[in-house]
Amino acid sequence: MRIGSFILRRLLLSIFVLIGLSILIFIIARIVPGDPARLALGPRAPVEVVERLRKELQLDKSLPVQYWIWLTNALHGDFGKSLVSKRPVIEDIKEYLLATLELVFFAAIFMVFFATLLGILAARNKDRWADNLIRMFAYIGVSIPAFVLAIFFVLIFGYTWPILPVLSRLSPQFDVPRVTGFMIFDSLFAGNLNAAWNAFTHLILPVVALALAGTFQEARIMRAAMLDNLTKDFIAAEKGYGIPERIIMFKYLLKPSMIAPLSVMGMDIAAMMGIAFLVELIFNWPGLSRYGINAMLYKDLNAISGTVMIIGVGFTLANIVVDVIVALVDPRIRLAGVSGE
Amino acid sequence: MDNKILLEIKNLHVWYKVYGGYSKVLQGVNFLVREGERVGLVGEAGCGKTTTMKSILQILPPGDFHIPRGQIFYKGQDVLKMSFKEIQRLRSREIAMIFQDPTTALNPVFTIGNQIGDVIKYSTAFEENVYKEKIKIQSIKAIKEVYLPDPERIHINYPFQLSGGMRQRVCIAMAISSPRNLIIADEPGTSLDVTIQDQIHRLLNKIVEKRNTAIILITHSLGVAKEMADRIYVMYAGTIVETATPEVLFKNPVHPYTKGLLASVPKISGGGIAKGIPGKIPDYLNPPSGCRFQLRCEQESPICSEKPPQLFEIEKNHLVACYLTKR
Repeated sequence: MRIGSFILRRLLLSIFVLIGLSILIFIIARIVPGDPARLALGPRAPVEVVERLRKELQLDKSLPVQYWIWLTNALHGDFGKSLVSKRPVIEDIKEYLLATLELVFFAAIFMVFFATLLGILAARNKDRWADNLIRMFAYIGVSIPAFVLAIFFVLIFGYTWPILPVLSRLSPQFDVPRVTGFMIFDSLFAGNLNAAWNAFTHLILPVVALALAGTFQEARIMRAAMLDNLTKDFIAAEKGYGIPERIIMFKYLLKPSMIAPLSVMGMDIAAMMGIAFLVELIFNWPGLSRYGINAMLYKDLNAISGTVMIIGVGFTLANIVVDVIVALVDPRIRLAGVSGE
Repeated sequence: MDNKILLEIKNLHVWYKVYGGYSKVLQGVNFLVREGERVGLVGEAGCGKTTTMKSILQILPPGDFHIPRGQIFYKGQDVLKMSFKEIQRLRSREIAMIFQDPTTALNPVFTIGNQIGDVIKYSTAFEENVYKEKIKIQSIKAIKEVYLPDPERIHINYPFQLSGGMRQRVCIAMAISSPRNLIIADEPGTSLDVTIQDQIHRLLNKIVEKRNTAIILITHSLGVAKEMADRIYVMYAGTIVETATPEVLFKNPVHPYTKGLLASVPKISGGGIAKGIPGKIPDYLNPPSGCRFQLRCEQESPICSEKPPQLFEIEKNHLVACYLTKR
C-alpha cells in the first residue's frame, strides 16, 4: 500500500532532523561555562584527580572528536555515565522516561477525544451557550500556562477539597511489578484492580493540567473547520441527494474537518513532552523532569545530552505518527506525487 | 401537446438574513416544468437562479433564510409543507441537482465510487453489505454512461486525481446513477473551458433525450439555452421577466431586459463588442419598490415604481412581466 512508502519517506527525513538535533545538543552542552569534571568532584578535589577524570571522560579531545565518540556510543544506546547518579544515563532514562510517556500518552488521548467531542458540540450549537462556554474556556486555556493550572489543582484537590491524590503515581500501599512501565497497564497485568484504579486517580489531575489548554484550542479549530465545510457545495450536494443527516455529519463532514485539528494536535502532543517537565515537578511525578533539571543544575553533560536526545526522538516520532494519521485521513497528502494513472 | 405538470413554483419569495436586515433575493418567482421538458433558466450572476433551485430541494444554507411567501408544487404536493421524510424521498428518488463548480461539489476525502455508491444506496432500497457488489456495478455503469475512460479506475480515484471536465462528468454520473424525474443542472461547465463545456452540454442533452427526464438547465448564455431548451425563462433580480420558446424569444423579445440580453451576445462575425446593459443588479437589502429593472430600463414610466408587474400572457406560451405589454 502507498501509505508504506509515505511512512518510509517520513522516517528517512527524520534521520536528518535527529542528526541536526544531536549536533545542536552537543554544542550547547559543551559551550555552557564550567568544567564538568570539576563540578562532579567538588571544589576541594586535587587538580591531578580532576585531570584524570577529564581524560577518562575524553574531555581533553577536540570537539569534533568528542562529538563523534558521543554519537557512535549514543547509537548503541550508550550515553555514558551520569556524573551525579554514577549510573549509565540510559538506565536512568529508562527508569524515568516511561513515567513521563505515561503522562503524555494519556494527555494525548484526553486531548484527541475531548477536542473532537467539544468541537462537534460547539459546531452543532454555534453561537449558543455550549459554544460560548467552550470559547470562554479556550481563552482561559490560552492565557493560563499548564503549570499554573497544576498549582491550582494541587491547592484545590489536595488542600481545600481533597478528593483526588496530588502526589506521585501510586499510593505506597500498592506494589506492582514493572512490565510496561505504565502504572495502569502494569496493575492490570498483575490483576490488581485496586492498584489500577489508584493509578488512574493519580493520573487524572496531571493529565488534565497538561492537556486542558490544548483541548479547548483544538476544539475551536475543529469547530471552525466543521462550520467552514458545512457551507461547502459538497455538503449541499450530499444533502440534496437525500443522504441521511447522520451519514453527512459523521462521514462526509467529520473526515475533512479532522485534517486541520489533527495537524495542530500533533504539534501540541509533541510539545507536551517539554511542558510535562513543569507539571511533573508540581505533582511530584517521578518522570524525566526532575532528572533532567538536576542534570542541568550539576552540568551533568551525559545526562543532559541523553535526556534531550531521547525527548527529541520522542518528539520526532510523535510528529511522524500524527503525519501518518493525517495522511490516512487526507488522500491528497497520502497520494501526493502519485498521479491518477 | 402539453404534458402533465411536474414542477410548479408560484410567487416564491426567499430572503437571506444578513447583518442589518434581510436581503430580499427572490421577489415572486413563477416557474413551470412539464414532464420530460427541457427548460432553460437564463439570467445574470446573482439574480437568484441557484437560490430558486436550492429552495426546491430545501438545501439553502441552514438558519440563514426565510420564505415569507410562495409555494413549490412537485407533482401537485407543496414542497414547503412536506414532512422531513417526504423531502428526503423527493431528494433521493425524484430530483437530482448538478452543481456549478465541479471542484467543490465533490467531497475531497472520499473516493468517487464511495460517493456515487452512497447516492445509489440511499436512493434505492439497497441494504449495505448485502448489495455492496450491486451498488458497485451500478455506479460503474453510471460512470460509463458519462463516457469516462476506465470506469473501474475512476471508481477508486479521489476527486483531486481527476481534471475539471472529468469531475463534472462524475457529478453528472451521480445525478443519473439512479432514475430521476427531474435533473437540475446549475450552470454545468461554467468553470470549464468552452470546448469541455460544449461536451458537457451535449452529454446532458443525450442523457435527458434517452431517458426522457425533465431538465432545468441554468445558464447565463442565451446561446446555450437556445440550443438545449424547449422553453426559456429569463430571470432578472429575483423575478421571472419573460418566458417563451427559444424561437419566439429570439425573434420577438418583449421585455427590455431580454432585449438587452440578446443585444449583449457577442457576434463572431464582426460588429465589435456587444452593446450590453448599463448599471447593475439592485441592492437586495433595499430593493426599489415595483419593477426591479426600472433603474436600468430605458422605457421606464411612473407606474413601474408603484408595484411589481405580474407575468402576463401575450400569446400562447409567451409570458412577460412588464407594463409595456399592457399599454
